[in-house]
Amino acid sequence: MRHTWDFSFLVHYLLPLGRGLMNTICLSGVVMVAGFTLGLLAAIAAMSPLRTVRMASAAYVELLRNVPALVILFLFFYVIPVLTGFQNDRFLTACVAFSLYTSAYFCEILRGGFLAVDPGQWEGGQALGLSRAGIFCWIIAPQIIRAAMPSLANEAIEIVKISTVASTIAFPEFLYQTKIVSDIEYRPIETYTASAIVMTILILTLTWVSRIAARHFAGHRRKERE
Amino acid sequence: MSVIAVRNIHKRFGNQDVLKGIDLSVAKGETVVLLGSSGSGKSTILRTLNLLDLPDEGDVFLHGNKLGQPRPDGTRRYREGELRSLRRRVGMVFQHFNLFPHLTVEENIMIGLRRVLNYSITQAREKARHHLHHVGLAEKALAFPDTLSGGQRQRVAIARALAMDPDVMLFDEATSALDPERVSEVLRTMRQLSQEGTTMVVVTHELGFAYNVADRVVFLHGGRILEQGTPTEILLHPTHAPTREFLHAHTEFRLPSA
Repeated sequence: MRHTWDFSFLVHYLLPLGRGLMNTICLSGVVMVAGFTLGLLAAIAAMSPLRTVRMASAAYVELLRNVPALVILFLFFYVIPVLTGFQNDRFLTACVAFSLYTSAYFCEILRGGFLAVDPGQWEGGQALGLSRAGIFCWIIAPQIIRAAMPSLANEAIEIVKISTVASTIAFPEFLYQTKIVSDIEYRPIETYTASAIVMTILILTLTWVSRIAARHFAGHRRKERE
Repeated sequence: MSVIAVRNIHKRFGNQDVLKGIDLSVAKGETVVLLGSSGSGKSTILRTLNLLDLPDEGDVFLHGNKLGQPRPDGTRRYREGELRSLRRRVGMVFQHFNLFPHLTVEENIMIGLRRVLNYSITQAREKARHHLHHVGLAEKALAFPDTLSGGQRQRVAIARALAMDPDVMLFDEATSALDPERVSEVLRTMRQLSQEGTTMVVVTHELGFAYNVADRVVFLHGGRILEQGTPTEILLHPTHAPTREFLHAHTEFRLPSA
Protein backbone atom coordinates (compact mmCIF):
# COMPACT_ATOMS: atom_id res chain seq x y z
CA MET A 1 0.00 0.00 0.00
CA ARG A 2 1.25 3.39 -0.87
CA HIS A 3 0.82 6.40 1.40
CA THR A 4 0.48 9.84 -0.11
CA TRP A 5 2.16 12.34 2.19
CA ASP A 6 0.18 15.52 2.70
CA PHE A 7 0.91 18.01 5.44
CA SER A 8 -1.22 20.84 4.07
CA PHE A 9 -4.21 20.25 6.39
CA LEU A 10 -2.04 21.17 9.41
CA VAL A 11 -2.29 24.84 8.43
CA HIS A 12 -5.86 24.84 9.75
CA TYR A 13 -4.72 23.68 13.18
CA LEU A 14 -1.90 26.11 13.88
CA LEU A 15 -3.83 27.80 16.66
CA PRO A 16 -4.69 24.69 18.77
CA LEU A 17 -1.25 23.22 18.13
CA GLY A 18 0.41 26.49 19.08
CA ARG A 19 -1.62 26.61 22.28
CA GLY A 20 -0.57 23.03 23.00
CA LEU A 21 3.05 24.01 22.53
CA MET A 22 2.63 26.95 24.90
CA ASN A 23 1.07 24.64 27.49
CA THR A 24 3.97 22.20 27.12
CA ILE A 25 6.47 25.03 27.62
CA CYS A 26 4.59 26.39 30.67
CA LEU A 27 4.23 22.98 32.29
CA SER A 28 7.90 22.10 31.64
CA GLY A 29 9.06 25.48 32.93
CA VAL A 30 7.15 25.19 36.18
CA VAL A 31 8.32 21.60 36.68
CA MET A 32 11.94 22.54 36.06
CA VAL A 33 11.87 25.31 38.67
CA ALA A 34 9.75 23.50 41.27
CA GLY A 35 11.47 20.13 40.71
CA PHE A 36 14.90 21.72 41.04
CA THR A 37 13.89 23.54 44.23
CA LEU A 38 12.42 20.42 45.83
CA GLY A 39 15.45 18.41 44.68
CA LEU A 40 17.77 20.99 46.21
CA LEU A 41 15.93 20.76 49.54
CA ALA A 42 16.07 16.95 49.41
CA ALA A 43 19.81 17.11 48.59
CA ILE A 44 20.44 19.44 51.53
CA ALA A 45 18.48 17.01 53.73
CA ALA A 46 20.58 14.14 52.39
CA MET A 47 23.71 15.94 53.67
CA SER A 48 22.22 16.59 57.13
CA PRO A 49 24.23 15.56 60.18
CA LEU A 50 21.00 14.07 61.56
CA ARG A 51 20.48 10.43 60.64
CA THR A 52 16.68 10.64 60.61
CA VAL A 53 16.72 13.59 58.18
CA ARG A 54 19.11 11.73 55.88
CA MET A 55 16.90 8.65 55.96
CA ALA A 56 13.77 10.71 55.24
CA SER A 57 15.50 12.20 52.21
CA ALA A 58 16.61 8.78 50.99
CA ALA A 59 13.09 7.40 51.41
CA TYR A 60 11.64 10.36 49.49
CA VAL A 61 14.07 9.87 46.61
CA GLU A 62 13.66 6.10 46.39
CA LEU A 63 9.88 6.27 46.55
CA LEU A 64 9.59 8.82 43.74
CA ARG A 65 12.33 7.35 41.61
CA ASN A 66 10.86 3.85 41.64
CA VAL A 67 7.32 4.79 40.64
CA PRO A 68 6.56 5.66 36.99
CA ALA A 69 5.64 9.29 36.30
CA LEU A 70 2.29 8.10 34.91
CA VAL A 71 1.40 6.37 38.17
CA ILE A 72 2.25 9.46 40.23
CA LEU A 73 0.15 11.57 37.89
CA PHE A 74 -2.83 9.19 38.23
CA LEU A 75 -2.35 9.12 41.98
CA PHE A 76 -2.77 12.87 42.13
CA PHE A 77 -5.51 13.06 39.50
CA TYR A 78 -7.71 10.11 40.49
CA VAL A 79 -6.78 8.79 43.93
CA ILE A 80 -6.20 11.92 45.96
CA PRO A 81 -9.50 13.58 44.86
CA VAL A 82 -11.33 10.44 45.96
CA LEU A 83 -9.61 10.51 49.34
CA THR A 84 -9.90 14.25 49.93
CA GLY A 85 -12.97 15.15 47.86
CA PHE A 86 -10.97 17.97 46.30
CA GLN A 87 -10.31 18.01 42.56
CA ASN A 88 -7.51 20.26 41.36
CA ASP A 89 -7.28 21.43 37.77
CA ARG A 90 -5.23 19.43 35.30
CA PHE A 91 -2.38 21.89 34.95
CA LEU A 92 -1.79 22.11 38.69
CA THR A 93 -2.07 18.34 39.12
CA ALA A 94 0.50 17.72 36.39
CA CYS A 95 2.80 20.40 37.90
CA VAL A 96 2.70 18.78 41.34
CA ALA A 97 3.09 15.21 40.11
CA PHE A 98 5.97 15.87 37.73
CA SER A 99 7.74 18.26 40.11
CA LEU A 100 7.78 15.56 42.78
CA TYR A 101 8.87 12.94 40.26
CA THR A 102 11.74 14.97 38.82
CA SER A 103 12.82 16.35 42.22
CA ALA A 104 14.13 12.87 43.06
CA TYR A 105 16.41 13.00 40.01
CA PHE A 106 17.48 16.59 40.70
CA CYS A 107 18.32 15.54 44.25
CA GLU A 108 20.60 12.76 43.05
CA ILE A 109 22.28 15.02 40.48
CA LEU A 110 22.98 17.75 43.04
CA ARG A 111 24.15 15.24 45.65
CA GLY A 112 26.56 13.77 43.11
CA GLY A 113 27.80 17.27 42.28
CA PHE A 114 28.33 17.99 45.96
CA LEU A 115 30.33 14.79 46.45
CA ALA A 116 32.47 15.70 43.43
CA VAL A 117 33.77 18.82 45.19
CA ASP A 118 37.08 18.25 46.96
CA PRO A 119 36.63 18.56 50.76
CA GLY A 120 39.88 20.56 50.75
CA GLN A 121 37.86 23.42 49.25
CA TRP A 122 36.09 23.87 52.59
CA GLU A 123 39.42 24.06 54.41
CA GLY A 124 40.81 26.46 51.83
CA GLY A 125 37.87 28.78 52.53
CA GLN A 126 38.02 28.27 56.29
CA ALA A 127 41.71 29.12 56.37
CA LEU A 128 40.88 32.51 54.83
CA GLY A 129 38.34 33.20 57.57
CA LEU A 130 35.25 32.85 55.36
CA SER A 131 31.99 31.89 57.06
CA ARG A 132 30.39 28.51 56.35
CA ALA A 133 27.59 30.20 54.39
CA GLY A 134 30.15 32.26 52.48
CA ILE A 135 32.20 29.18 51.60
CA PHE A 136 29.08 27.45 50.37
CA CYS A 137 27.87 30.40 48.26
CA TRP A 138 31.17 31.53 46.74
CA ILE A 139 33.18 28.34 46.58
CA ILE A 140 31.15 25.15 46.89
CA ALA A 141 27.88 25.97 45.08
CA PRO A 142 29.52 27.23 41.87
CA GLN A 143 31.55 24.04 41.70
CA ILE A 144 28.48 21.85 42.29
CA ILE A 145 26.67 23.60 39.45
CA ARG A 146 29.72 23.29 37.25
CA ALA A 147 30.07 19.56 37.91
CA ALA A 148 26.32 18.92 37.62
CA MET A 149 25.56 21.13 34.61
CA PRO A 150 25.50 18.40 31.92
CA SER A 151 23.20 16.21 34.04
CA LEU A 152 20.97 19.17 34.91
CA ALA A 153 20.59 20.00 31.21
CA ASN A 154 19.77 16.36 30.52
CA GLU A 155 17.09 16.39 33.19
CA ALA A 156 15.58 19.58 31.76
CA ILE A 157 15.22 17.83 28.40
CA GLU A 158 13.74 14.80 30.14
CA ILE A 159 11.14 17.05 31.77
CA VAL A 160 9.89 18.33 28.40
CA LYS A 161 9.36 14.75 27.29
CA ILE A 162 7.76 13.66 30.56
CA SER A 163 5.33 16.58 30.31
CA THR A 164 3.65 14.78 27.38
CA VAL A 165 2.40 12.19 29.89
CA ALA A 166 -0.05 14.89 31.02
CA SER A 167 -2.01 14.09 27.84
CA THR A 168 -3.32 11.03 29.69
CA ILE A 169 -5.35 13.25 32.01
CA ALA A 170 -6.51 15.35 29.04
CA PHE A 171 -4.34 18.35 29.82
CA PRO A 172 -4.15 20.11 26.43
CA GLU A 173 -0.40 20.06 26.02
CA PHE A 174 1.27 19.56 22.68
CA LEU A 175 0.92 15.79 22.33
CA TYR A 176 -2.73 15.88 23.40
CA GLN A 177 -3.51 18.51 20.76
CA THR A 178 -1.61 16.45 18.20
CA LYS A 179 -3.71 13.42 19.01
CA ILE A 180 -6.94 15.39 18.58
CA VAL A 181 -5.84 16.76 15.22
CA SER A 182 -4.78 13.32 14.12
CA ASP A 183 -8.15 11.83 15.16
CA ILE A 184 -10.13 14.53 13.37
CA GLU A 185 -8.17 14.26 10.14
CA TYR A 186 -7.41 10.52 10.20
CA ARG A 187 -3.83 11.44 9.35
CA PRO A 188 -1.72 10.15 12.23
CA ILE A 189 1.46 9.73 10.19
CA GLU A 190 1.73 13.35 9.08
CA THR A 191 0.44 14.76 12.36
CA TYR A 192 2.83 12.83 14.57
CA THR A 193 5.72 13.38 12.19
CA ALA A 194 5.10 17.12 12.34
CA SER A 195 4.81 17.01 16.12
CA ALA A 196 8.09 15.06 16.36
CA ILE A 197 9.81 17.75 14.31
CA VAL A 198 8.41 20.53 16.49
CA MET A 199 9.43 18.71 19.70
CA THR A 200 12.91 18.16 18.30
CA ILE A 201 13.27 21.85 17.51
CA LEU A 202 12.03 22.76 21.01
CA ILE A 203 14.49 20.41 22.69
CA LEU A 204 17.38 21.43 20.44
CA THR A 205 16.70 25.03 21.49
CA LEU A 206 16.80 23.93 25.12
CA THR A 207 20.09 22.08 24.52
CA TRP A 208 21.53 25.20 22.96
CA VAL A 209 20.46 27.36 25.90
CA SER A 210 21.89 24.85 28.38
CA ARG A 211 25.22 24.84 26.52
CA ILE A 212 25.43 28.59 26.92
CA ALA A 213 24.57 28.21 30.60
CA ALA A 214 27.19 25.47 31.00
CA ARG A 215 29.84 27.65 29.42
CA HIS A 216 28.83 30.47 31.73
CA PHE A 217 29.10 28.33 34.85
CA ALA A 218 32.31 26.69 33.71
CA GLY A 219 33.86 29.90 34.96
CA HIS A 220 36.16 30.42 32.03
CA ARG A 221 36.62 34.07 31.24
CA ARG A 222 33.93 34.84 33.79
CA LYS A 223 34.39 38.16 35.52
CA GLU A 224 33.41 38.61 39.12
CA ARG A 225 30.08 40.42 39.03
CA GLU A 226 28.61 42.61 41.67
CA MET B 1 55.52 38.20 73.44
CA SER B 2 54.60 35.29 71.24
CA VAL B 3 52.47 35.78 68.13
CA ILE B 4 50.89 32.39 68.47
CA ALA B 5 51.30 29.67 71.07
CA VAL B 6 49.82 26.42 72.25
CA ARG B 7 50.05 24.98 75.74
CA ASN B 8 49.63 21.35 76.78
CA ILE B 9 47.75 20.35 73.61
CA HIS B 10 46.27 16.86 73.49
CA LYS B 11 44.52 15.45 70.46
CA ARG B 12 42.99 12.04 69.84
CA PHE B 13 41.67 10.65 66.58
CA GLY B 14 39.49 7.68 67.51
CA ASN B 15 41.50 5.76 70.08
CA GLN B 16 44.85 7.04 68.80
CA ASP B 17 46.66 9.74 70.76
CA VAL B 18 48.20 11.98 68.12
CA LEU B 19 49.35 14.82 70.36
CA LYS B 20 50.30 14.11 73.98
CA GLY B 21 50.92 17.49 75.54
CA ILE B 22 52.52 19.96 73.14
CA ASP B 23 53.88 23.34 74.21
CA LEU B 24 54.99 25.63 71.43
CA SER B 25 55.37 29.36 71.23
CA VAL B 26 56.32 31.32 68.12
CA ALA B 27 57.86 34.78 68.44
CA LYS B 28 57.34 37.63 66.00
CA GLY B 29 59.58 37.29 62.95
CA GLU B 30 60.63 33.78 63.87
CA THR B 31 60.74 30.86 61.43
CA VAL B 32 60.06 27.58 63.17
CA VAL B 33 60.43 24.30 61.29
CA LEU B 34 58.64 21.20 62.60
CA LEU B 35 60.30 17.92 61.74
CA GLY B 36 59.30 14.37 62.49
CA SER B 37 58.41 11.10 60.80
CA SER B 38 54.90 10.65 59.45
CA GLY B 39 52.40 10.15 62.24
CA SER B 40 54.49 12.18 64.68
CA GLY B 41 51.74 14.81 64.82
CA LYS B 42 53.45 17.74 63.08
CA SER B 43 50.59 18.49 60.67
CA THR B 44 48.09 18.20 63.51
CA ILE B 45 50.00 20.83 65.49
CA LEU B 46 49.86 23.16 62.52
CA ARG B 47 46.13 22.57 62.11
CA THR B 48 45.63 23.22 65.79
CA LEU B 49 47.37 26.59 65.51
CA ASN B 50 44.53 27.91 63.33
CA LEU B 51 41.98 25.57 64.94
CA LEU B 52 41.14 23.65 61.78
CA ASP B 53 41.54 20.77 64.24
CA LEU B 54 40.16 21.52 67.71
CA PRO B 55 42.31 20.20 70.55
CA ASP B 56 40.79 17.78 73.05
CA GLU B 57 42.76 19.44 75.84
CA GLY B 58 44.99 22.46 76.13
CA ASP B 59 44.92 26.10 75.10
CA VAL B 60 45.70 28.17 72.03
CA PHE B 61 46.95 31.75 72.41
CA LEU B 62 47.00 34.53 69.82
CA HIS B 63 49.16 37.49 70.94
CA GLY B 64 48.98 36.12 74.48
CA ASN B 65 45.19 35.97 74.57
CA LYS B 66 43.72 32.59 75.34
CA LEU B 67 41.10 31.62 72.76
CA GLY B 68 37.70 30.08 73.43
CA GLN B 69 35.44 30.03 76.46
CA PRO B 70 35.81 27.55 79.31
CA ARG B 71 33.33 24.70 79.59
CA PRO B 72 32.40 23.09 82.92
CA ASP B 73 34.43 19.95 82.08
CA GLY B 74 37.62 21.98 81.67
CA THR B 75 37.76 21.86 77.86
CA ARG B 76 37.20 24.97 75.77
CA ARG B 77 34.46 25.94 73.40
CA TYR B 78 35.26 27.93 70.26
CA ARG B 79 32.62 30.12 68.68
CA GLU B 80 32.38 30.30 64.90
CA GLY B 81 33.08 34.05 64.92
CA GLU B 82 36.20 33.62 67.04
CA LEU B 83 37.49 30.87 64.77
CA ARG B 84 37.00 33.12 61.75
CA SER B 85 38.80 36.06 63.30
CA LEU B 86 41.69 33.77 64.32
CA ARG B 87 41.96 32.26 60.85
CA ARG B 88 42.06 35.57 59.06
CA ARG B 89 45.12 36.45 61.15
CA VAL B 90 46.77 33.10 60.45
CA GLY B 91 47.62 32.26 56.85
CA MET B 92 47.73 28.63 55.83
CA VAL B 93 49.36 26.96 52.84
CA PHE B 94 48.26 23.39 52.18
CA GLN B 95 50.07 20.44 50.69
CA HIS B 96 47.50 20.21 47.89
CA PHE B 97 47.18 24.00 47.42
CA ASN B 98 43.36 24.03 47.83
CA LEU B 99 42.99 26.75 45.22
CA PHE B 100 39.47 27.40 43.97
CA PRO B 101 39.33 25.95 40.44
CA HIS B 102 36.34 27.99 39.26
CA LEU B 103 38.10 31.29 39.96
CA THR B 104 41.01 32.92 38.19
CA VAL B 105 44.32 33.30 39.99
CA GLU B 106 43.57 36.89 40.99
CA GLU B 107 40.00 36.03 42.00
CA ASN B 108 41.41 33.30 44.25
CA ILE B 109 43.32 36.00 46.07
CA MET B 110 40.53 38.56 45.93
CA ILE B 111 37.81 36.39 47.47
CA GLY B 112 39.17 36.59 51.02
CA LEU B 113 39.86 40.31 50.68
CA ARG B 114 36.38 40.94 49.34
CA ARG B 115 34.29 38.62 51.53
CA VAL B 116 36.28 38.68 54.78
CA LEU B 117 38.07 42.03 54.84
CA ASN B 118 35.38 43.89 52.83
CA TYR B 119 37.71 45.39 50.25
CA SER B 120 36.19 46.96 47.14
CA ILE B 121 36.81 45.12 43.86
CA THR B 122 39.39 47.70 42.79
CA GLN B 123 41.28 47.61 46.09
CA ALA B 124 41.16 43.82 46.17
CA ARG B 125 42.43 43.51 42.60
CA GLU B 126 45.25 45.94 43.27
CA LYS B 127 46.34 44.02 46.37
CA ALA B 128 46.02 40.69 44.57
CA ARG B 129 48.25 41.96 41.75
CA HIS B 130 50.76 43.25 44.28
CA HIS B 131 51.04 39.88 46.00
CA LEU B 132 51.17 37.98 42.70
CA HIS B 133 54.06 40.20 41.71
CA HIS B 134 55.67 39.39 45.05
CA VAL B 135 55.65 35.65 44.28
CA GLY B 136 56.71 36.28 40.67
CA LEU B 137 53.41 35.42 38.98
CA ALA B 138 52.06 38.83 37.97
CA GLU B 139 51.48 37.66 34.40
CA LYS B 140 49.24 34.80 35.56
CA ALA B 141 46.57 36.99 37.18
CA LEU B 142 43.85 36.02 34.71
CA ALA B 143 44.82 32.37 34.30
CA PHE B 144 42.87 29.55 35.88
CA PRO B 145 44.66 27.35 38.43
CA ASP B 146 44.40 24.22 36.26
CA THR B 147 46.61 25.87 33.62
CA LEU B 148 49.48 26.37 36.09
CA SER B 149 52.28 24.03 37.16
CA GLY B 150 52.27 22.68 40.72
CA GLY B 151 54.96 25.11 41.79
CA GLN B 152 53.07 28.07 40.35
CA ARG B 153 49.85 26.92 42.03
CA GLN B 154 51.57 26.73 45.37
CA ARG B 155 53.00 30.22 44.92
CA VAL B 156 49.47 31.47 44.15
CA ALA B 157 48.31 29.76 47.34
CA ILE B 158 51.09 31.54 49.23
CA ALA B 159 50.06 34.87 47.69
CA ARG B 160 46.44 34.17 48.63
CA ALA B 161 47.39 33.63 52.27
CA LEU B 162 49.80 36.60 52.33
CA ALA B 163 47.24 39.01 50.88
CA MET B 164 45.25 38.73 54.10
CA ASP B 165 48.22 40.33 55.92
CA PRO B 166 48.42 37.47 58.43
CA ASP B 167 50.36 37.72 61.68
CA VAL B 168 51.79 34.25 61.07
CA MET B 169 52.01 31.90 58.10
CA LEU B 170 51.61 28.12 58.41
CA PHE B 171 53.05 25.83 55.74
CA ASP B 172 51.74 22.26 55.81
CA GLU B 173 54.16 20.21 53.69
CA ALA B 174 53.91 22.87 51.01
CA THR B 175 56.35 21.13 48.67
CA SER B 176 55.43 17.46 49.26
CA ALA B 177 52.98 17.24 46.34
CA LEU B 178 55.32 18.90 43.83
CA ASP B 179 57.54 17.45 41.14
CA PRO B 180 61.13 17.49 42.44
CA GLU B 181 62.23 20.18 39.98
CA ARG B 182 59.40 22.46 41.15
CA VAL B 183 60.26 22.24 44.84
CA SER B 184 63.02 24.84 44.83
CA GLU B 185 60.91 27.68 43.37
CA VAL B 186 58.47 27.31 46.26
CA LEU B 187 61.25 26.98 48.83
CA ARG B 188 62.89 30.13 47.43
CA THR B 189 59.62 32.03 47.88
CA MET B 190 59.38 30.74 51.45
CA ARG B 191 62.99 31.70 52.20
CA GLN B 192 62.35 35.17 50.83
CA LEU B 193 59.35 35.55 53.18
CA SER B 194 61.42 34.38 56.12
CA GLN B 195 64.16 36.89 55.29
CA GLU B 196 61.56 39.65 55.09
CA GLY B 197 60.65 38.92 58.69
CA THR B 198 57.43 36.95 58.20
CA THR B 199 56.55 34.85 61.22
CA MET B 200 56.36 31.29 59.93
CA VAL B 201 55.69 27.77 61.14
CA VAL B 202 56.76 25.23 58.55
CA VAL B 203 56.13 21.50 58.40
CA THR B 204 58.48 20.05 55.83
CA HIS B 205 60.77 17.17 54.95
CA GLU B 206 63.26 19.51 53.28
CA LEU B 207 66.16 19.35 55.71
CA GLY B 208 68.20 21.76 53.61
CA PHE B 209 65.46 24.36 53.98
CA ALA B 210 65.32 23.75 57.72
CA TYR B 211 69.08 24.12 58.02
CA ASN B 212 69.36 27.27 55.92
CA VAL B 213 66.18 29.13 56.84
CA ALA B 214 64.88 28.06 60.25
CA ASP B 215 65.59 30.06 63.39
CA ARG B 216 64.47 27.07 65.41
CA VAL B 217 63.96 23.42 64.57
CA VAL B 218 61.48 21.35 66.59
CA PHE B 219 61.68 17.57 66.36
CA LEU B 220 58.49 15.64 67.13
CA HIS B 221 58.29 12.01 68.05
CA GLY B 222 55.20 10.05 69.10
CA GLY B 223 53.05 13.12 69.69
CA ARG B 224 55.61 14.89 71.89
CA ILE B 225 58.39 17.40 71.30
CA LEU B 226 61.52 15.31 71.65
CA GLU B 227 64.04 18.11 71.22
CA GLN B 228 64.33 21.60 69.80
CA GLY B 229 67.01 24.15 69.16
CA THR B 230 68.96 25.92 66.45
CA PRO B 231 69.30 24.11 63.09
CA THR B 232 72.94 23.36 63.91
CA GLU B 233 72.05 21.78 67.26
CA ILE B 234 69.20 19.63 65.99
CA LEU B 235 70.36 18.78 62.47
CA LEU B 236 74.08 18.38 63.07
CA HIS B 237 74.30 17.43 66.75
CA PRO B 238 71.04 15.70 67.73
CA THR B 239 71.06 14.26 71.21
CA HIS B 240 68.23 11.69 70.93
CA ALA B 241 68.27 8.40 69.04
CA PRO B 242 64.95 8.91 67.14
CA THR B 243 66.23 12.25 65.82
CA ARG B 244 69.45 10.64 64.66
CA GLU B 245 67.55 7.82 62.94
CA PHE B 246 65.24 10.30 61.25
CA LEU B 247 68.15 12.39 59.99
CA HIS B 248 70.03 9.34 58.86
CA ALA B 249 67.02 8.07 56.86
CA HIS B 250 66.68 11.45 55.19
CA THR B 251 70.34 11.84 54.27
CA GLU B 252 71.29 8.26 53.42
CA PHE B 253 71.32 8.80 49.66
CA ARG B 254 72.88 12.21 49.50
CA LEU B 255 75.58 13.23 47.02
CA PRO B 256 78.93 13.99 48.62
CA SER B 257 79.59 17.70 48.74
CA ALA B 258 82.24 18.78 46.27
